[in-house]
Amino acid sequence: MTGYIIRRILWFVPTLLAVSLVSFAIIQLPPGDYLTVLEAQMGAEGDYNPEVVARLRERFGFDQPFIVQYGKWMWAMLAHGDLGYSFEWRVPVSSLIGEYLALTVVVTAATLIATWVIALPIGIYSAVRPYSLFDYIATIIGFVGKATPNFLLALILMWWAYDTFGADVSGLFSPEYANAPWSWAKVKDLVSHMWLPLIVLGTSGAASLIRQMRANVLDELQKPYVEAARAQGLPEWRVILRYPVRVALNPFLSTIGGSIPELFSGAVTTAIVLNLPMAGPMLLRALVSQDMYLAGSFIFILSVFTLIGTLISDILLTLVDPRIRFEEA
Amino acid sequence: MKDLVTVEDLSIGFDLRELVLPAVDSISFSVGTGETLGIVGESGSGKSLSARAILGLLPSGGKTTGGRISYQPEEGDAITITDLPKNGRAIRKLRGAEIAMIFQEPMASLSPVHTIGNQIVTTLRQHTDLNKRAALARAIELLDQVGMASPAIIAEQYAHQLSGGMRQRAMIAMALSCSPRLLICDEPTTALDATTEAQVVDLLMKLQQDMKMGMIFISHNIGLVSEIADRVMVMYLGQSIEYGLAGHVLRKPAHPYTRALLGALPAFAEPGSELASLQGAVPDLAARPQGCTFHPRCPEYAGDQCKTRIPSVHVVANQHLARCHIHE
Repeated sequence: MTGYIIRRILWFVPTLLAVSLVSFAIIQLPPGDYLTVLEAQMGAEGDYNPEVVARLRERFGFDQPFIVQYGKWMWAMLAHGDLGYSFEWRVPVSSLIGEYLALTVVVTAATLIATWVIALPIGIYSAVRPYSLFDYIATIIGFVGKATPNFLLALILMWWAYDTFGADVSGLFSPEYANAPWSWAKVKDLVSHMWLPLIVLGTSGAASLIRQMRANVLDELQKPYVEAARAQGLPEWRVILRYPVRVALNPFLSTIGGSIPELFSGAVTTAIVLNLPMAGPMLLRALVSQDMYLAGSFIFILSVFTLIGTLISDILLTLVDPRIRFEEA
Repeated sequence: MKDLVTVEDLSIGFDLRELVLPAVDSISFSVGTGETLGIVGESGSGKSLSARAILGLLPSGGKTTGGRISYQPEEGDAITITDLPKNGRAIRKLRGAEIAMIFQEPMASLSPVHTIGNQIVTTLRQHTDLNKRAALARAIELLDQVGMASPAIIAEQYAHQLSGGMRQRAMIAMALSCSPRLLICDEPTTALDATTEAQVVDLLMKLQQDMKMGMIFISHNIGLVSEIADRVMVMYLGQSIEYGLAGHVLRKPAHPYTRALLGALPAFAEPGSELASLQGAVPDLAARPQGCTFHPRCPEYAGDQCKTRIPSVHVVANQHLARCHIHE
C-alpha cells in the first residue's frame, strides 16, 4: 500500500504540469491581457500614458511568447515558491490568497462534515422506514432543498435575518474583526457567522445525500446477508448499522475527492451573494480582469487539493471495502 | 423422541392491502432432537417461507394468518414462536443460539465487508459471555471443525476470497457457533457443484450426529433429501401434499406429484424405462387452481372431483399422510 501511495503521489507531478499548462493557456485565450484592461481603465479615467503601459508590458513579460511566460511562472513557483504577482491587487499572489484559501478550506470542510452528519442518519432512517411520515417529510425537504438555488436561499435567509433580528448576517466576520489580526475573539466571531453559509452551502448537498443514502440502504436491505445477520440474532439496529449501512457508505467515500473542487467553485455565487471572503469570488474576479498569475495560482492549488482528495477517497475505500485492493503492478 | 419444533396448521399470506395472498396453507410438521425433516418442493411451493417462519423471519408483507409454531427449549415451558413480537428480544434469543439457519447463496449471505472470523465472533458475542480473544479462538476451532485446512488464515479472509464450498463451510461454522439445537438448511447445496455438494452434505450429517441437532433440510432435489432425511414433507403450492417417514414416502409414494418427482430420477425409475417428466409449470400463487391445486398437471387425474373439491388429508399408512382423492 505504501508503494502504491508513493506511486500515486509521483503521478501528481505530470498531472499538475498538464493541468497548469492547460489552465494557463485558457486564462490567456481571450483577446488582450491585463494591460488591455488597464489601458481601458486609464482611458476612462483620462490619464492614459502609452509609455507606462509599454514599460509594464516589458516588465511583466507580456511581449514574450506564451510558452516563455508559462515557463518563467512555473520556474519561479518551483524554485522560489513565488506564485507571481497580482496585477489587480498590486501585491504578490502568495500574500494575497493564503487567508482566502484557509477560510475557504474551513467553510468547505465544515459544510461537508455538517452535511454528512445531518444527511446520513436521515437517509438511513428513511430507508429503514420507507413510506413512513418521517420518510415523506424528509423527501419533501430533500426535493425542495435540492431544487432551490443556493443564492436564492441565501437571499431569503439574509432578508429573514434582517427582518427578524435587524442584523446584517452576511460575511464571515463582524466589521470590527474583518481586518483585525487573528485572536480567540476573532475565531469565535467566525464561528458565530458560519451558520448562514453552512445552511446555504449545505442544504442542496444534504438533500441529494439523503436521497442517495436512502436508495443505497434500501438496495442493501434486500440482500441475503442482511437476513443472515437477523438469523444470527443481532438486534435490528445493529443489523442495519453493521451491514447495509457499511456497504452503502462506499459510494460516498468515492465522491469525497470530487466534492472538493465542486464546493470551491459551486460556492462562487453564494459567496458573492453572502459577501464571503472565499476563494471562489476572488478567482472569478481574477479571471474577468485577466489577472493571470492570481487565477493560475488558484487553479493550480485547487488541482492539488483535488488530487489529494481523490487519493484520500481511494485510500478510504480500500480501508472500508476489502473487495477493493490496490493494483500491485 | 422429544419434539423440538412443532408446527400446527400454519398458514402464511402476503398482505397486498386489497387482499391477503395465501402462500402457505395450513401445514403441520414436527422435528425432534437428532432428527432430520426433509422439505421438498418446487420454487414457490412455500418451503422456504415455512422454514423462515420458525425463526420469525418472514419477508416484508408476509405474515402468519393461522396456526402456531412452538419450540421446546431444553428447560422450561414450550415457547409459542408465532406469538412473539417481530424482531423482539425473545425471538432474537432463539435466533442463532437455539435455532440457526444456513442459506442458499453463501456468497450473498456472508457479509462482503467483514472477515469470516469477525462474523462468527459477532454471533458468539451476541449469545455468549466470551471475550473477543476467546471468541476468536472458538471461531478458529469451529472453522477447523467444518474441515477448513488452515482455519486461522480463513478467519482473516473475506467471503470473496473463498471458493463456493469453503464459503458454505464458513456459513455452517457461523450457524453452529452457539451449538444450536435446531439447524434449518435452506437449499444449502443448490449453488454448489456436485462434488462439493456431496462433501457439504456429509459434513452436515456428521455434525448433526455429533451435536445431536434437529435439522430441517429444504431442497428441490428429492433424491438428495431421500439420502439424509428421516421424515419427508412434499409441498406443492403452499400445501403439504405428502408427509411421512422417508422410507415410506420414497418407496411407496402415495401422491401422484411425489410419484412424478421420483419417476424423474434415474435411481428410482424402472430399469430400462424412459424417465418421466412432469408436464406444465407451477401456477402463480394468485392463480391457484380450483379443487386440488395439482389437478391441471396431474398424470393420475381422476375426474371432476379433482377439479371441484379440495382433497382432504388421508392416512395411507402408519405416520404417512397424503392429500389426494385417490385415497378416499
